[in-house]
Amino acid sequence: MRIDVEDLSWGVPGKTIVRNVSLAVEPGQTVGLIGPNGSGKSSLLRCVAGLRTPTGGRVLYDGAGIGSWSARDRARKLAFVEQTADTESDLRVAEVVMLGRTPHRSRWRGPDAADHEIVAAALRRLDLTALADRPWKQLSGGERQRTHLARALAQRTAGLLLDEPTNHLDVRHQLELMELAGSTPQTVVVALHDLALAARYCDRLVLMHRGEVVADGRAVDVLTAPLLREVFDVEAEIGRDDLGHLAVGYREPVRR
Amino acid sequence: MADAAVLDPVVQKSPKPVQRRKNTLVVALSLVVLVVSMALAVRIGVGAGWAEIGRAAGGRLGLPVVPLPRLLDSLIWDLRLPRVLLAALVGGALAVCGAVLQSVTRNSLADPYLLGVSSGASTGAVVVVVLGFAGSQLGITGGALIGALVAFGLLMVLLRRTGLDSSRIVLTGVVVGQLFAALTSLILLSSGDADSIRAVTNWLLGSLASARWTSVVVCAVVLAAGLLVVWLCSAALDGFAFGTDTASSLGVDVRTTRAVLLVTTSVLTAVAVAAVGAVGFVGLIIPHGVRFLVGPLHRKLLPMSAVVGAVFLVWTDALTRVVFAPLEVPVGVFTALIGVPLFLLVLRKRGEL
Repeated sequence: MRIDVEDLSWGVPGKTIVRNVSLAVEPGQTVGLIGPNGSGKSSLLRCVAGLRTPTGGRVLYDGAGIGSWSARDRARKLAFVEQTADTESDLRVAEVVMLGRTPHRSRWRGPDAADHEIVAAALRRLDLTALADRPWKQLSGGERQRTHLARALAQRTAGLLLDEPTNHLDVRHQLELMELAGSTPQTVVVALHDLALAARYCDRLVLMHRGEVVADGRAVDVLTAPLLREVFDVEAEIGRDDLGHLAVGYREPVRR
Repeated sequence: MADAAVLDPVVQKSPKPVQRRKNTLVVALSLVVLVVSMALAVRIGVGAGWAEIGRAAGGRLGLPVVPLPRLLDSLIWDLRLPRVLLAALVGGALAVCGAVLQSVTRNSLADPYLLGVSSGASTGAVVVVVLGFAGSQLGITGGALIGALVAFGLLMVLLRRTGLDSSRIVLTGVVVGQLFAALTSLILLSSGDADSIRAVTNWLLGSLASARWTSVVVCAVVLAAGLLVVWLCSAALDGFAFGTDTASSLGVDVRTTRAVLLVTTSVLTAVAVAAVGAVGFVGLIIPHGVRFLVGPLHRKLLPMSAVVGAVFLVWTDALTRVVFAPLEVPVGVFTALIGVPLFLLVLRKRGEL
């Protein structure tokens, strides 16, 4: 799926949070959204996911606007994983992943064999098979995050939108998750805080600052010391580690 | 795919068929329990055996049976049968409303009275009693229904402005409920005499004593339609578990679905409250108990809540008739007396207390 964000703005009364953002994501690309807290990453992601209606501009999916789609149509094309989505409910892991089949199921029927097969595959992919019958409340933060991702995969969409999916994960699962995001044929837009992780697994990085895109391109072009100083207020050194991956070393915050 | 299944013992074992058989068994068993409970409840306190009940029903259905003495026949057919049926219908309706509202508001303490509709019903009933129309059988019921619908209309007008966010629903419902509770007290204290206060208090605590076939038919039709509507929203109700954005990303049209569910539960509650008064606790506890039995997915939770709520109220009502006989205690008193320990038991079993 190709995603074109055209001159998009979004805000709440009295405050513009995303300002005139344009962005073209090629089919199958993995694009990392980076930027400090409050830079508009999450809001942009929600607009692209169709969960917020832009106050200006539009988003096109393979050239088509979202206007004529029902919520169900949209959910068959775009999956979204929130930063923290918790519940008081007693749902089990496999049941949460089965929620991903919601837009594909008839109101009249329960899940069929194909749905169960897709859920089992998503559980395997996220290394959750052994936890399938575990209640949500007994899961660690990382297991919850992986369950949500499995749920999004079970949705079988062309577009996948992830809001800081590596937040609660240990190092191994961070790498595995990003490897998955980078290798899936889906078009992925992922908001991330870890710059090195973003650089390593995303085809392209988009740096946001105060609601606007300030840089868009390959990691080496976006993660530069002057840009990081300007946007994040830190002195950073960009280099390469022994494996050849881009590495970011931070000095001290810029005093003002 | 086949290789992965072999490597993966959980997938290979495939626990689904077993699970499904167990569920079918639970549903079948609970339906049997419901029918048996209702049959027993008809007998309790009538002083009639199975043969008499069969003769009463058979006579009405035009079967060639020896007719019963007029009084006994009327007791069974006009009083007891509709009473037991109404108890089952109201219990089922309240439990279903509770389950739906607990999901919509993401609040495990939500119950059908949360929306203030029952307070509106009380106000309507009080107005009828104070104005002296209570004598006619449909008086209190009709007044309660009108009051409930007025409260529901006010709720919708207020929610139209604020939107259908879950905490807004709770707050607005409480506000509407408080307003009508105040109105009820005001009317009662300013113009009620001792008799009407007593009549209203009895009604407020819920009583099935005045059950008639008209209420049974109305409740049956509304419950059947309402249960179908909310059951068709099962997937959405499951999706609400993780909040609005996740539900929406799963393809749930959140606003429309919430509106449909609120309207349906309000109408169900209005009809139930108008028929028997505000019977407390059923809508709060039954869904929790049923989740313990069949899990939180609404496809099973909603129909099972209806059945278990029905059984619960049928038995509670039967108890009210015999425990302090000949005095009849309002059924609402008993639902709370029985419900509180049951509720604590369920919470403890689920490790929440």
